[in-house]
Amino acid sequence: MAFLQQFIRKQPFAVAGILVSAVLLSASILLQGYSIVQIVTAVFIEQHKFTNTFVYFNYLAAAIALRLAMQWSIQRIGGHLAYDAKQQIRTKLLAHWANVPLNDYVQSATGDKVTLLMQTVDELESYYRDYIPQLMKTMTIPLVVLIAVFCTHTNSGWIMLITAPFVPITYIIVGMQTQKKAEQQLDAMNRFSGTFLDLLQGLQTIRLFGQQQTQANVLDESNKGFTERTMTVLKIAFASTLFIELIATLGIGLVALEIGFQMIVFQTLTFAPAFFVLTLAPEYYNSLKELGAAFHTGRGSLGAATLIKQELTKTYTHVAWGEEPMPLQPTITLQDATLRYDDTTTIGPISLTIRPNEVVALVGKTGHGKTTLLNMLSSFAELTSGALLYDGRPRHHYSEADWYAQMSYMSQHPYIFAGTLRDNVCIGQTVSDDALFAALQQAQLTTWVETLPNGLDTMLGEGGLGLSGGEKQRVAIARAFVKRARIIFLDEPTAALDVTTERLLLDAIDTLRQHATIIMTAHKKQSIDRATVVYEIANGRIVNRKDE
Amino acid sequence: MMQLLLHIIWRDKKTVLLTLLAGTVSGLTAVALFAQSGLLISKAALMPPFYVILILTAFLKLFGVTKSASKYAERLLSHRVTFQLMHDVRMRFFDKLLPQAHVLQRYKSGDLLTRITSDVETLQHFFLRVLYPPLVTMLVFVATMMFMLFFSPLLAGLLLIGLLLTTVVMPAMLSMRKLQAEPRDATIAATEYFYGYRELLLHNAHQQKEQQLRQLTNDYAKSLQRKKNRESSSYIWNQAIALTTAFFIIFVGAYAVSTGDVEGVYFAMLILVSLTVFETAIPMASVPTFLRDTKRAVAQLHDITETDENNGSVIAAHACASLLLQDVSYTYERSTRPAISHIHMHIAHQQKIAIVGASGSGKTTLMQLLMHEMAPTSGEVLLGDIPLHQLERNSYYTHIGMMLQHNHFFAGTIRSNLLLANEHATDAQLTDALQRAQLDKTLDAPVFEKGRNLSGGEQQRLAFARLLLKGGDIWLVDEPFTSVDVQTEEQLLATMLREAADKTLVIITHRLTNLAQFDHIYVMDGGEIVEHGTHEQLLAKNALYARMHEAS
Repeated sequence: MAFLQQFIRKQPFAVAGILVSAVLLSASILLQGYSIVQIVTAVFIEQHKFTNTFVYFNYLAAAIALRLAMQWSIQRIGGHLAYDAKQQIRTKLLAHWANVPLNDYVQSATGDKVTLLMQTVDELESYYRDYIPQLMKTMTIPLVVLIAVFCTHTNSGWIMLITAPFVPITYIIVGMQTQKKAEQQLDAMNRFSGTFLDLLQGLQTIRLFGQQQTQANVLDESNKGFTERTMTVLKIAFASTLFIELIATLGIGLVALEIGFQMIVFQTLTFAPAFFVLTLAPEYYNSLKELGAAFHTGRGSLGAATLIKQELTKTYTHVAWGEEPMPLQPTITLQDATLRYDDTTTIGPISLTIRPNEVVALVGKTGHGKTTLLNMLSSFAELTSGALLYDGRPRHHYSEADWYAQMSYMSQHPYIFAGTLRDNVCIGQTVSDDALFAALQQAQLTTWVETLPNGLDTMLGEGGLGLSGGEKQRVAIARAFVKRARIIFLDEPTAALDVTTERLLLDAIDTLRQHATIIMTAHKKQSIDRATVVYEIANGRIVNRKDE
Repeated sequence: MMQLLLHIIWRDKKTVLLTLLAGTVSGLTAVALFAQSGLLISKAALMPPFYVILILTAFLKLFGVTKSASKYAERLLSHRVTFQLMHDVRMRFFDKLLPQAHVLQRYKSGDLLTRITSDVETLQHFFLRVLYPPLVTMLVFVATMMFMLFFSPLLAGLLLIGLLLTTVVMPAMLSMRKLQAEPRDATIAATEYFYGYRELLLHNAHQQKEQQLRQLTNDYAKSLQRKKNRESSSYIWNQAIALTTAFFIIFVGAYAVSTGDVEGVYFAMLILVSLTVFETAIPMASVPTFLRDTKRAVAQLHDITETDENNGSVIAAHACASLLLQDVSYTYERSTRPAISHIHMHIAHQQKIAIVGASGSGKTTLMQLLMHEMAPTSGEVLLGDIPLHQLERNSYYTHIGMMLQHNHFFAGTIRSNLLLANEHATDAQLTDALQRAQLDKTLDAPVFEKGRNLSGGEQQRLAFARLLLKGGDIWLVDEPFTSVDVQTEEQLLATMLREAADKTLVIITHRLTNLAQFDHIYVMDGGEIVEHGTHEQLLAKNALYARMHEAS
């Protein structure tokens, strides 16, 4: 609750606006009841002429207009509140994720992040749009109505006052149960959408392995589990509305009965006040009931709120950076560095120094820590112990932007964005066509570009042209050239390439090394031939160093 | 597809009819409850005998309890109908989508995610909020009008106008409001942002992309706000109609009472009836919105499922048949030049074939055609003498084992990913397969989404273990061991050749060592086969193959 409330504190005027509208809304309800009662009394009891009632019809019309206007204003303000709070939360989430070290990025499923950012945050809508305004309406309308009833007929006022607490009590009792269930349901939904995305991405594999039936069963099962959970939550919600309806009808029935007695047996009440109380009673119980409906959606939002809070309070070992400008192409040193991950595997301790313009190859069997060592050198992860020095000074003194501005990292599977070839090579930088062509030339992509239907503006990636592994790799090389990177990390650059592309890539490395330090993991002779220093890694440690 | 939804719903007639009954009863008892209390105080004002009050009060309680109970039943039943509908729709959709794996190549996967989850979720409103409220509203109103006719046909007429305005005029007018396109971009942008985060960070473009993403979510939230505002404004319209109708009923009623056309004692009752009956019509306010959402969701789902895949009917029984490519060409949808053209190839039973060539020479396309993942633009691929497109897909897949260039792994464990290949395999068999594939992992080791916690080499060895478990008569393998070191690669290739001794093996490879063990080698360049023969023959030819061999 407190977590969600902090986001409306920045909107005091909106909150005040809702409160004022709610007071005026209560007034319109009283006026509406009053004018109807006057009209009926005039023609039924006092048998006035029809024209004498016109003044009350004016009141009635005014009451109706005011009522509609205030409802409209409450809804709009609620909508604004919801929009504002949701965007505050989204900004917060994005800022939070921006601090996650790259190494940890792999650990959580992308689908989950997308769902949390879009759907889960949208789940909060009803808390701000419905629950908060309804809470304020419920604080005002029943109170105003109750005062009016007490002024008209005290006994009815007492009946309404005594029955009222049963409504919130029911909510509190049922609500405690619902909250847990709602959280479970939301969790189930998150996992459900994750399963669905995973299944869809693996459709080809499912089909090739003839797993249609099994996977359909998996879906069927999680589907049913999802339905089951939702139904349980709903049953509780419906049962609570059932009780509340009973309390409301019982209350109205008691009021009506009591009025009847007062009128006939004790003859202490006349028609007009009796009718007035009777028109107000349903308004009173309705607004209490409406709180219930809003209360349930509000509770649903709390489940979403917990998930978001959980994510926001997750802590990562941040990669520490400072403010000082970083020298170009620094010497990179690891001192007794270790990195522990998965709580089981530790890489290191490793000590090594890489000087400018060196070409360093990290070799060794797969799974022995080559890539992790690369991530340690490239600051994609914070060391567990030891130090990483750039030009002899610890990394945390230097500016992060300076580091990323001069380094480039090529993995085996470069990510191709949905966008044009130009966008994919430049990634956000403005680059002249000449520079771009030069980079494409160096990545030996020019002949390929010529075959593209729209040249540089051909759409690539999802929804666009699909690229082969070699083409992706060459786009990645072009990126490094465009960027004029001074330190280049390559994770098994030529692993997936055929001889011709591999040679192109190695040529490119030869060009790049003239201005850059190159650090790569490799197992191919051709790549290693380029290296000036070769480190052999086994079980997370350097076992051999060879200078070429 | 709308018919399909109706059909699914109507399958459970009994529940549907019971829901309608419960809804109508609960609406009518609510009206009756207030009619009673109005009558009660009016009678009381006229000093009737006491027992009249007692009878009326008894009815009051009865109506109150009936109203609450039937409301509960209505809610429970209508949701049951809806959830059954949802379950059926999801399963049907998945079944429809399964045979078209390459749908993913046409749609952005982020888009597909939103489409499928949110469109299917949208359908849950079809019964609950589109089909059902008008029916109940009509039934309750018609019954109430009948009741009013006893007292004043004029007032009943006014109520009819109110009914028509709520159920016909207002929904029609609201439906005509211009529909704004819902921005899906935000979800797609978010998916891209998270997947491509490393690349963005390296290019200092993450802040710009994040800014963009924030802008997109802003637009998205704004349009959602507008949508929700519109939805709630229809509730206000609904209330406006209800209150205005009540106003005129009171106005005309007051006149009729003053002239003596309507007895004064019934006036309060009639007013309360007209105010209450509109409570049943409250859900009508959201019908247009939900109808539109349903229609759009249905159209989009239809869009995806209607691209029907032609599946043959011939069962692939000839396990030991040869594979034949006759003048096969293939051009990608968005491409201008053919990826492969005029390929002839004969792969005899138990032959070991290697396909080599530079990246982009068409090897993978050729493999996709052999896997029957797509059909050739021209020419034909045959298994024995049956064209692949005449084969029943699954029967073909039972005979082939394959390793793709990028193998998909599901979030789960090593075990769950292996069981995919052979669900009846014992743990001993699984461990054995891992051993033969030289993958040093336990069966319970976790696998993250897309296998992202496994290195490239580990992924390839896991895929190889999967292939070993799958078996089959024809193995189609695309660049199997590119990410493992040279020594391991040679060992794994030897294992593969040994395991495939009695199988047909087609392998795409970039490494030209060890190819002497293959029966026939095809060299591809620019989408064509430029050379073929045995290792010795090709070396003797001293052309492209020989040059590539020298370089490696």
